[in-house]
Amino acid sequence: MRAEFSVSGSRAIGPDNPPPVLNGHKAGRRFAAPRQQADSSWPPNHVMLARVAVLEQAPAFFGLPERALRSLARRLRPITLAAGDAVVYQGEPGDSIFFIESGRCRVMIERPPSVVTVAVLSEADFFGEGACLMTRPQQASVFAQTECTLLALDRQALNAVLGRNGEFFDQLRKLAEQRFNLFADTAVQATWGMLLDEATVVGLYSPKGGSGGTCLALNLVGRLSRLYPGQVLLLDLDFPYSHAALLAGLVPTSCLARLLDVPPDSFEEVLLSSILYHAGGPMILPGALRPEESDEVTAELITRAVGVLRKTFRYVVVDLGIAIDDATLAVLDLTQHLIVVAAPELSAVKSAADAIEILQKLGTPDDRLTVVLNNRSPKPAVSKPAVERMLKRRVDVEVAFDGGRPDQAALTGEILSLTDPRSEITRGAQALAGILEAKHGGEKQRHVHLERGESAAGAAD
Amino acid sequence: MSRTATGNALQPARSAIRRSLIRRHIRSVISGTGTVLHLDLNDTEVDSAALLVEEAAQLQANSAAFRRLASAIKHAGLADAVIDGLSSRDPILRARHLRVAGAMRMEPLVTWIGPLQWSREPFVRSAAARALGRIGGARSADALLVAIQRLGPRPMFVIALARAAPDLYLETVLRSPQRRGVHPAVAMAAGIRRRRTATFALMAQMAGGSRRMRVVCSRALGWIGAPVSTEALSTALADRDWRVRMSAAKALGSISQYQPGALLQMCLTDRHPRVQRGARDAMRKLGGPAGALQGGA
Repeated sequence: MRAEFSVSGSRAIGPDNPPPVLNGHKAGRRFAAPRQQADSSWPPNHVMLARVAVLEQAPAFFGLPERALRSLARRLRPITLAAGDAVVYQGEPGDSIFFIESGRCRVMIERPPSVVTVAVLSEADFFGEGACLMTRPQQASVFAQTECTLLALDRQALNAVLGRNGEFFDQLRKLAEQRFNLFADTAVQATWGMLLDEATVVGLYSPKGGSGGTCLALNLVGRLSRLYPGQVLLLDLDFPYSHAALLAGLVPTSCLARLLDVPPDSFEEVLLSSILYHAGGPMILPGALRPEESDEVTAELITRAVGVLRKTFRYVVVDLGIAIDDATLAVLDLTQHLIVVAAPELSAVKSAADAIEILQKLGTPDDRLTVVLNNRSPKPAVSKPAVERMLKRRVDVEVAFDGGRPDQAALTGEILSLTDPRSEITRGAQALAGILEAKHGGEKQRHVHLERGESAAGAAD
Repeated sequence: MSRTATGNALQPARSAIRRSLIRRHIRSVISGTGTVLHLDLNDTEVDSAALLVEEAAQLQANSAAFRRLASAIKHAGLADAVIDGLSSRDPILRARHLRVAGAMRMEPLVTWIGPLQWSREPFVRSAAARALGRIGGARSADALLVAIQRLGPRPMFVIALARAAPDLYLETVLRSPQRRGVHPAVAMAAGIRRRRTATFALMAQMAGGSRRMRVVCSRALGWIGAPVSTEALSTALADRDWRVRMSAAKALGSISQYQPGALLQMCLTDRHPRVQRGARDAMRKLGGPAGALQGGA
């Protein structure tokens, strides 16, 4: 056998000595043999170009000279993952930075009793830099959300290529520190209400007027108040024209804007006395009665008001306006859950896609964001799959066209979720309430039971 | 005659003084008071390489002190001396320089260190594997994997691989086809490394692997201790091979969240005594009624 091999190896391939493929000899199974000498194997040029393109888009890396980028690209290790595979686990050590070449990854922080998705990363993002550079445990677990191709750069390769570039390392450390703080804040923000047994603040944002945001907010509050009568409040900040009270058939006499000059010692009393009570159970606090009053609702006033309201209620649903101004940002800082309402129209969907991107950049955890598609016509111009494609995410709740019911209800001051169980709006509100309960209600109840010293099994019973 | 005798008698003292001087010299560089490092790594009287390794071992790889020492070594031209030493005819010198390369994490030397893993001298092979383990990174892990392919899954290679492999390296190797003997070694390394990311790759290998692979994967899963693997390990308790059953029982004993079930209790009366012993140990670790069942077994 050995002799045969040496003879065929010494002769040139020709008519008398056909290559193994033609002479019928089967080639053995091919194994993924690792490189013996790393220097000898350069990836193909198109692979190198693709890798350099990924590095060029990554923050902090894009400023590196091309030579350094090519050296790094050469040392990147491709990893293919299926959806749901774990990349790193929170609390474990790490020594690699992972660049996402394709696909999406979900970054999750476990903060008992909850798990919070703090970010969803996509192409050209990277993660793992904190553990790699600062030799501290991974701050978060990262899972592949879709099928992913990652490029891993280990600490040794990074040091070998950029060891002398102190400025770059400083920049990368700064970035790692920033991201660490952002993720930590987001995780705390998403869970603190639950831990303190305070109200869950839910923001309802509709980036385009006429999408039915206020109607949905009112019906959501109605649905929640059936579960928790007298414990659910709608704060109407849909400026400049706030109509939630009008739609519920209530006549407001005071509003949040008029509390600006109220002294701190009587603020709580005056605030609670401004709330309107609907016969069906929900409560409404108007933000402003006149359009010109909306300027007086400042971020500080909102923070103070929400601070009081969350101690009194179980759910505070905030109907937000279209603009992302200081007041909206203040509410976003305080919310534990955010609902984005989009209508199936091109401009509304585009606005919703932009809004979702902004919200994600602002650090809204992905699992605390719910997208609602509200059909305002019997035949929507844009289909649900098309909406999902444009939004780059799933539509969580779809509200079917409800005919003239919402308009009729507005005329009579009814809240459909309280009066008409067959209404599509009611079904949508029910689905939303279900999502909120699953994410916040159950956990809150569990937490209360645990605080009382009861076992989880007892709580379930 | 007497002068020579005195000279020989003083030799150990002289060596000790020189050793002390060299150590202080290295420490001065580490602390930043000195910047220039004068060392002769080929010195036969005093093993200055051992002193350097000893001092470097106490430093964190990313620390400023380590960087100072690495910089001084580079500026003194010792990196080149180490490369020369790696190709020395004297195996003792080769091993010495391998230790320095490992201690100073000289990643560019991986290419030179890799082939030394199949040197004729066992201590050079061992020093090369250890050096690669200390240097770490994908290239070192690649070199160690080649050694495992050529020389088989020896413990020193497995330990060094567990140390050197970067994140998700072992998991990727476990999922790709490899030569015979590589997967068990990598599974063992994944277990020693104790990263939960390897859990599913090990479980997949356990489900469809050879008897040897099932044994190794069970142990590795036990070392990792992820609760998610208890189901796969419980299934392995009913395996035909007693080694797999024993390994699974031991592994379940090290997963604190595992509630001992009927399968583990059945292992207490297994036909093979070593499985019985493994199950008893597991029950004891888990705080189950091992004592009560021990009599029955």
